[in-house]
Formats: sequence, structure tokens, C-alpha cells
Amino acid sequence: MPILSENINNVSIILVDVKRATVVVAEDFKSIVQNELSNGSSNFIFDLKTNEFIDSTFLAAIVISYKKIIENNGQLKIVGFRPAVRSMFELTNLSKIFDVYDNEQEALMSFN
Amino acid sequence: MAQEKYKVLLVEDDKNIARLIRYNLEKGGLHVEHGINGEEGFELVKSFMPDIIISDIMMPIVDGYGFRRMLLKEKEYASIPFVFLTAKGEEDDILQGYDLEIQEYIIKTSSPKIILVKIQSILKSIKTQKAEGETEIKKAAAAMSAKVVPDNAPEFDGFEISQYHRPFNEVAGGDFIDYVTVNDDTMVVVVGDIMGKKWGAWYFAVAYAGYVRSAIRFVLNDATNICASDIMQRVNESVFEDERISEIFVTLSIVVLNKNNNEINYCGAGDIPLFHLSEGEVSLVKSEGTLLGFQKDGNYKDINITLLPNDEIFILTDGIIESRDMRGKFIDNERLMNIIKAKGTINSINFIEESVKELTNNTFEDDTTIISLRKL
Repeated sequence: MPILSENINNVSIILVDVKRATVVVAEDFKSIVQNELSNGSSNFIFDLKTNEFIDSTFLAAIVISYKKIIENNGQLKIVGFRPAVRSMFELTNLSKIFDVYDNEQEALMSFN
Repeated sequence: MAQEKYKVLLVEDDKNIARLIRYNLEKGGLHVEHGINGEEGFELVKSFMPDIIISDIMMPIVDGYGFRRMLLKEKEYASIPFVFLTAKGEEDDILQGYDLEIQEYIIKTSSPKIILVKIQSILKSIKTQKAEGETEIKKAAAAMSAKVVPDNAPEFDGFEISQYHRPFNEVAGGDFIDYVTVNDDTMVVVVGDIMGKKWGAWYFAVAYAGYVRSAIRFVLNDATNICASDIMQRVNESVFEDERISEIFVTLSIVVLNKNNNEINYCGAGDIPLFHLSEGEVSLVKSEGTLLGFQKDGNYKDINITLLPNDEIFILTDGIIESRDMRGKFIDNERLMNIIKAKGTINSINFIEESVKELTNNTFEDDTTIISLRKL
């Protein structure tokens, strides 16, 4: 399974462990986030450090998941932007909306 | 015209054999990349995205069986046709190979010409199957008689408008274009991209194109001067409140042209910047708004751009700048700016189309749309 989840200090960390995060993994990604929400998680970190590229379908999956987390009164932090992924978030003006950190540790600290 | 070549990945540790096979495949009109073991082959699959893979079995680090198993675990790569080319000719070897869902098992004693013919035969049968499937989808799309991209760009006084649109794999997709004539003086040009691909995206593109038209009519009823940000905000509110499309996000560029005015009025929602060609230099015009439907107030603002005679504005979706050249490198904003600068006096849309086709070997990974608005 290329999408891994773990829980640290009540924060669900979702790692998308593929170089190209595309339509191929988007549905699995949404299901895993939904599953974590159903199991009571509200705070999330999406770790994109492995992703050299994300396509628009996968970006939409992140946006959909973000909306669900917010509706659930939770918070989302995103970490591990590589240049092409950062540029995708900047192009769509989403970088101004998402809370972005360099690494998991910083993101975890920010929940405190 | 750039000629499309099939891409073959050859994974073979013996350099002499690799050179011989490569020579013959290239002579047969195929584009070949070479890796020396399964590990390197797997990395090349990701960057090169071949149409077919030919692999030896006995190789160091990761052998052919291991390589094939790695590919089968990844949905994106499992369906790429795979051929073993090996010296292992025992019955058990061949059966073990076919257990790994391969298309063909070729013994190395076959002549290079036979290998070429077999590879060409597999590629031909895949092309035929794909064409049959797409014909059915195209028939269905035509039967629903809903067009999301006009056949031709319209005529409008004071501007020369040209367009290029190519759906992903020739199947109706998520990009849409609309030209709405508001009155004799004013036209609204709309370019949208549903975030998703192919059939599902096309369905929503039809709905979105309708939303944008309704918003333009609504804004017209309320104001004498139409502006792009008002249209965008209106579309966004409708989309945001519509639960049926709450999981669909769209990037949108809206440009209002007025034949009596040297300024164009632009507003964007998460879209690719406009490219502005003026006196041989290209600059980017970036919008501030977020994707449509993401939040109730998308912070949509108008940007007015003054045009000199012969200035050109290009509106595009991400298909061109996110397509990759033969080395896997993106045609990003900077490369597209250089292409536009290099066009000279040639028709821009034709020049961009041909340049990008040549760079990408005529292979695209998304819908491709670009519109040129040249001030006369």
C-alpha cells in the first residue's frame, strides 16, 4: 500500500509513499483519510516528501480531505513540499490557505 | 509535423546484446531507453513512461522476475505491456514468465529482426484495442450532443482569436472553453479545467460551462459594466452551495474583451498565469483567487492589462506546462515563455502546438488547451 498512516500524539500522519501521486492513488488516499476521521482523528499531517509530482486529481483529493477535516473541527498541516509540488500549490493559490511546514517534527510541535 | 514514436524500455545487463537490440529497434522506428538491471529499469519506467518494456531475466541487483513483480504492485505501471527477452529457454522458465502476466516470452536466439516484428505486433494490437474502446466513448459523447469546446474561435473586432485544444488521449475531458458575446462591444472568454481526467471530468465540464453562462447573465442583469471578478464570484457562490459538486474543484480563467478599449479585464481562480507577449518579451500575469468551490469568498480580484497593437495574451490550462519531454522534464512556464518568444512572425498557436508536440514526442498526460488573443 503506497499510502501509510500512523498516529503520533493524537495526530494522524498520512505519508503518500509514491514519486508520482496521481489519479491512481487519489481514491485510496481519500478513503484512508475518511477512515481516520471515522476512527475519531481530527488533526492531520499530510507528508508529501516522497512526491516529486502530483496531478490535479490528487490535488483535488487533498482539497476534499481538507474540507472534511475542517468540517470535523480539525486541523491539517502539510509537510515535505518538493519543488514541483510546491509550484502546483502556488499555481492554484492553495499555498496561501494550507498550513505548510518543512518537516513532520515542526508540524507536530505546531499542534501544541 | 512531429512524428509519434513508440517508447520502448530495454532492460538488459549485457551491453553488447543491449546495443544490438537497441540498434534494430531504433532502425524499426522505435524510441529506446536502456537500463542495466531491474532497479534501474523501475526508475526509468517512472520517468520515461514507456509504451512497452523488454526485459532480460538474469541480471544483478534486481532480476527480471523481481522487476516484473515491482511493476505489478503499482497500478499505474502494471498494465504497460511487458516482454521477457532471455536465454532461459526451458519449459519451466517460460511458464514462470507467463505466470507474471507478460505479453510475450522471447528466447535470445531469435534474430533481432524477429524480435522487432514481435514487438511491433504487440504495439499494433494494443493500438487497435485502444482505438476500438475510444470510438465507443466518442460515439456516446456525440450522442449526448454536449460540446464543451467550440470547433473554432470566434471573430471579434479589434482582436484576432485563435485556439488549440486537444483532449487527453483524444477522449472528451475536463477542459472547457466558452466565448460569450455580451453585446457588440464586449465578449467574455472563459477557459476552465475540471480537476480530474477523461470521462468523469467531461461530465462535470458540461455542468460547469452552464454555470459560467448563467453567472454571466446574472451579472449582466445587475450591472452595466461587466467585470471578470463579479462573474467569478457569482460562479463560485453557486458552486460552493451546490452539494452535488462539492467534491469537484475547478480552475477558471475569465477574460473580458472590449473592442473600444486597449485594456483587457482578467480574473483567475487557481489558474495558470496568463502569458503576455509584448514587443518580443513575455511576462506572466498571476491571479490571486483560489480554486472555484473551495471557499465561499474566493478573494477574486480584477486585473486590467493594457495591450499595445500586436500584443498577445495566452490563456491556458496545465496540460502544456505539465507535459514532459523525452527525458521526463516538464515543459514548465519558463520553457513555454521561450517557445512563445521564439515564434517570430509565425502564427503563435500553430508554432506552440508544433513545438510542444516535438518536445513531448506528441505524448500528453492531460487535456491541452491554449487560446491566443492578439490585439490588432
